[in-house]
Amino acid sequence: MNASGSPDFVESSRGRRVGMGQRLARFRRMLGPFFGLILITLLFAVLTRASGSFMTAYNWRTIGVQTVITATAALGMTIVIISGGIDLSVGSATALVTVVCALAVKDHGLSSSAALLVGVLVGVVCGVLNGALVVGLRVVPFIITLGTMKVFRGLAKWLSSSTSVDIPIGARTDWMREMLAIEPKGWLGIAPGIWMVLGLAALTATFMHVSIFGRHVYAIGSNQATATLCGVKVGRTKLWIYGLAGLATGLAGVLQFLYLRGTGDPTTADGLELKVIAAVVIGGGSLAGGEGSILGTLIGCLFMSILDNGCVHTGISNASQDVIIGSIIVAAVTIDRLRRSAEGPEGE
Amino acid sequence: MMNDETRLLRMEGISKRYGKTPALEGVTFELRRGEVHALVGENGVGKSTLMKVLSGATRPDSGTMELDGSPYAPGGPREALSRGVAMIYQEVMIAPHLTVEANVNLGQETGRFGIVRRGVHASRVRRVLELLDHGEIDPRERAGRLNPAGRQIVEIARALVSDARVLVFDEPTSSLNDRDSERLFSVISRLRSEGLGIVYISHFLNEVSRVADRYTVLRDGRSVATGTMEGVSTQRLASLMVGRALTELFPRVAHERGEVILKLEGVGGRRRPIAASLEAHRGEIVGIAGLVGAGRTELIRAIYGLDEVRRGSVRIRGLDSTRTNPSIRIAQGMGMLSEDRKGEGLALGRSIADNLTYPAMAKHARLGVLDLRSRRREVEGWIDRFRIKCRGGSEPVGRLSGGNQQKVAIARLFHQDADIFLLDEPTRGVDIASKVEIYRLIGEAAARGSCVLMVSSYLPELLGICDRIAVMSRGMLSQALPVESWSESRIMETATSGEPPATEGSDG
Repeated sequence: MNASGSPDFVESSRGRRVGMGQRLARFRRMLGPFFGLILITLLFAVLTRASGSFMTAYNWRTIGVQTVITATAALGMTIVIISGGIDLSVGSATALVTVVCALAVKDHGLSSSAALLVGVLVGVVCGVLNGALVVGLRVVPFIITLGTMKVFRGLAKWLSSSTSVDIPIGARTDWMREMLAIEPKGWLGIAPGIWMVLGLAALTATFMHVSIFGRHVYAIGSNQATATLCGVKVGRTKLWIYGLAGLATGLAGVLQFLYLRGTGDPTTADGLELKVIAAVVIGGGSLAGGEGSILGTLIGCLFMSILDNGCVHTGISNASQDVIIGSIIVAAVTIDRLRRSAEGPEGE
Repeated sequence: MMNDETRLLRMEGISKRYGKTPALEGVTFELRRGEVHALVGENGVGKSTLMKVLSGATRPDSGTMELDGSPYAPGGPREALSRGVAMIYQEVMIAPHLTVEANVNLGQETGRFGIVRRGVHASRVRRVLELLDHGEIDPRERAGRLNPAGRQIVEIARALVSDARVLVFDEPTSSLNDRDSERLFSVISRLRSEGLGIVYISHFLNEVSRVADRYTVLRDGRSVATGTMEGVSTQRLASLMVGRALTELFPRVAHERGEVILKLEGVGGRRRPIAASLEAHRGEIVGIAGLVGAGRTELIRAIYGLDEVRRGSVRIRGLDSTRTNPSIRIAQGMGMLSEDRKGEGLALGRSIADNLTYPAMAKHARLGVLDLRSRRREVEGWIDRFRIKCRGGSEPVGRLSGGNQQKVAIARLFHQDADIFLLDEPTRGVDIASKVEIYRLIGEAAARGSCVLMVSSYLPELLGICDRIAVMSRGMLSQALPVESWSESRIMETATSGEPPATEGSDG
């Protein structure tokens, strides 16, 4: 046996050079989803080359606008998933928010902006309720939010008598229309909604990175027992996590209300939660907790929107679209997992 | 006589009952500043209960505690931590996805308006790591990427950041190799010279006699002896623990070597092992020594079909059987004991009966329906024969002590009628009395004509019970030589041959 080469027992804890390597690794982790994004874009560009309708500025603006609602809700979901939790009530809560917004204007005579504020508040209440139940009843979030998913949907139907609620024409102001306009005046030609979600994303990402709260969220998701042992107030942190997720859902609901041009629809956003969860996971989030990033989630959201939009432009039937989208999601996440396990030990 | 100057902690007359069973009966324990105090005793004698009382995880029924001359009665681990009492657990408590820095500061972050003060954190961690002489650990590294030794340092660093004055180490070397253990000992002596009081719990008596200044022996919930370590033999300590003179640490059951049953020819895996050749016979115990990471566990896993065999061949009873999987192996009469009892070896939440019969449940089933009565009867039989301390076959394995859990895991191999036993660290984290029983059981397996392949990092046991020993060094398995031709130093020499100089290999 020779005496050169690296020793066995130094598994991966050699110091110094790791700092750089680790930063690189974080960058590489983002590269996968990003590469996927480019790949499906190219795929659809080729598939639609005859009509050319996919690769137009107008269509990309549409995709941007279509991403806003998912992305807003996904900001909250990312935090929840990093903490090892899940929120299945996002779609229902979104519908509930649209209904409350519409009713506030129509039946209670609130101004549009006041109604939107109420809508956001409803989202927060939904989230805090989820958090309180998860912490108070010590039942896994999957079950709690499965329950509240039905409850919120039921509430939305009950409040609206199961029909869509329209606000008076006069209450539909210009800025409401502009918010998610595909070709808005000013704003550099990009809808204010997109700017908003980008701003929120930057804020959330920074917050998760530099705040004590952010660290505690990662710690709980990574190893809750350790977090508890180290004196992290796990219950209180979770309440905040679901409260923040509720805030994000409230904003998403308000945007959905605007997207529906001032209509409260109790059946809207059906299955939004699954789309949001898929986006987070495609962006590198782990349902086991401890992993996930805001940038990754944004990429995941864009991925989902391009998938939806591209399928429409290729002109494949609706039924086949579902099959294709489902398969691509599974494939994307699988490839990411394989790639990461090849990269070496990560976490446990 | 001890004066108040040096006394750091005093626990007096501590009693605790769980239901009717007394766990502690009037235990007295004293810890001085700047000493390492070993707390020894077999499993189930109340060491962990005593430490739970100390860390505030449980309240004693009676008794008093004093810390630094003032009364001490913590309401929980958090309060204990704030009074300066920290535990380093056997199961290392880290958040694998967080950086070393974030782990060390976890729960003790300083912030301004909720924003982490990075500078304060970083310098705090660096200072503590330097103090521990582990400055080579990068605070920005993810904790999950560290090896067990590095993770443990993270835990110790966390305790130091919280200004701990009393540090409890619970079996700290159970997942460390010799070199890392050595480094830990030097860390401990640094902490001692800083004036901390250290409680050291371990089954390894030779280790205890090296690091500790004083000892307290616990037996059946009582403190039966305490004194200075100097001049006390490990034999004497063991006798105090067991309560009778120990005649034999390595009982030998007579067995006779038969024909070759397992033959490895240049077996290589994905990264480890590189090449392993061995002929193992019926009625023989073959030990595999080597450093952690040398490829011993990987070899066992490859033989059992958990990992791919990329080169070479595995022959069983003369027939080539290289490409395989565990269910084929079980059918061929092979059984494996995992080194990771809690993660892989046992389903902790399931009953003893389930765990014991998983590989061969079909024995108790007809058309897929279990005959629970016959299974229960047989399981009770194994529990008696293996002296598993439990409330019955339906008790979840997770509630048993480490030694008894291990006995269940080994009983499983007997239950499935294994002919070839692959044992990976069969006595890790197990108390002395259980160890002796496990040695006896291994001997019995050989006596009934089975072949035992046993990986261990504990050299005395390999030398004590094996017939032949092979040493794994950086993926290469040495020739298996009769045990008489090996010594501890010779094994270490072989295991570390071909290594770069020691300064290169410092790992955290």
